[in-house]
Amino acid sequence: MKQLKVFNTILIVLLLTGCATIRLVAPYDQITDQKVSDMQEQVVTKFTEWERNIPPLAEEQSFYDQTESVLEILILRNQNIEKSAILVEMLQKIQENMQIIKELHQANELSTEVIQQIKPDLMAQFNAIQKYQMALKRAEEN
Amino acid sequence: MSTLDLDFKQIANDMLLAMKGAVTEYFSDVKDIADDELEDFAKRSVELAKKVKEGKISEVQAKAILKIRQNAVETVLLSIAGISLIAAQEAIEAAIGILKGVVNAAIPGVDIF
Repeated sequence: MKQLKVFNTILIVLLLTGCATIRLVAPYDQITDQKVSDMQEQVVTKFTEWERNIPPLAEEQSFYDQTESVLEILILRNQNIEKSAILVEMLQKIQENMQIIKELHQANELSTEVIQQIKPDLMAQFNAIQKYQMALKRAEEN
Repeated sequence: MSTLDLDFKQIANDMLLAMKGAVTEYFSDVKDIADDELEDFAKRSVELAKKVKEGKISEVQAKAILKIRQNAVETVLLSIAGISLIAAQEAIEAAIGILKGVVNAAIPGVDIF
């Protein structure tokens, strides 16, 4: 009798939850993944150039405009996806860092020494997002 | 199999095993990130202190670098938190998968899921 009661409880739980997949995080989004990869490539290329020589801000405005707009679009896109808060926060951390870099550039404080220091930090951020995306993709395939 | 023949202890064990498998799969991802990135942040911060002392990096620059580094560490930690959530999600689904199998087998001919 007790076993039957337990079984019925399990059955009710399954009926309530069984129709829907348990979702703690948003599903894998290929567009976000691709855009982050493209942006990482752009940032690596630019930072590699800047490790040798840093042109004035006016000459690099298009790089800042491009990364800022892509980040804004990605943040907005993911803010509209349910349970995407972690990814949004990761993108906002990159956005904040790009803003600091731009401010250093504006203040003529962006030197090759600074670039050598911060390049691994930016790469770590992009890698962290990529690893999260890979885990999401794997979960989707399972 | 009738309802009363169900071995609930075995079902619980099977569910735990399924959950363990799901969590283990993602644990290596989390360990890789922690090993590769977090140690590197610490090393580079020591290096930064040396450059400031040598006058190669100003205080203004050092402050900005440290803020950038803090954001980077937080991004890495967010990634670890996110992957842990994915692992938890997979573990729950693996356990529910076992339960579904049991229920569907216990009620032959009626695939309720």
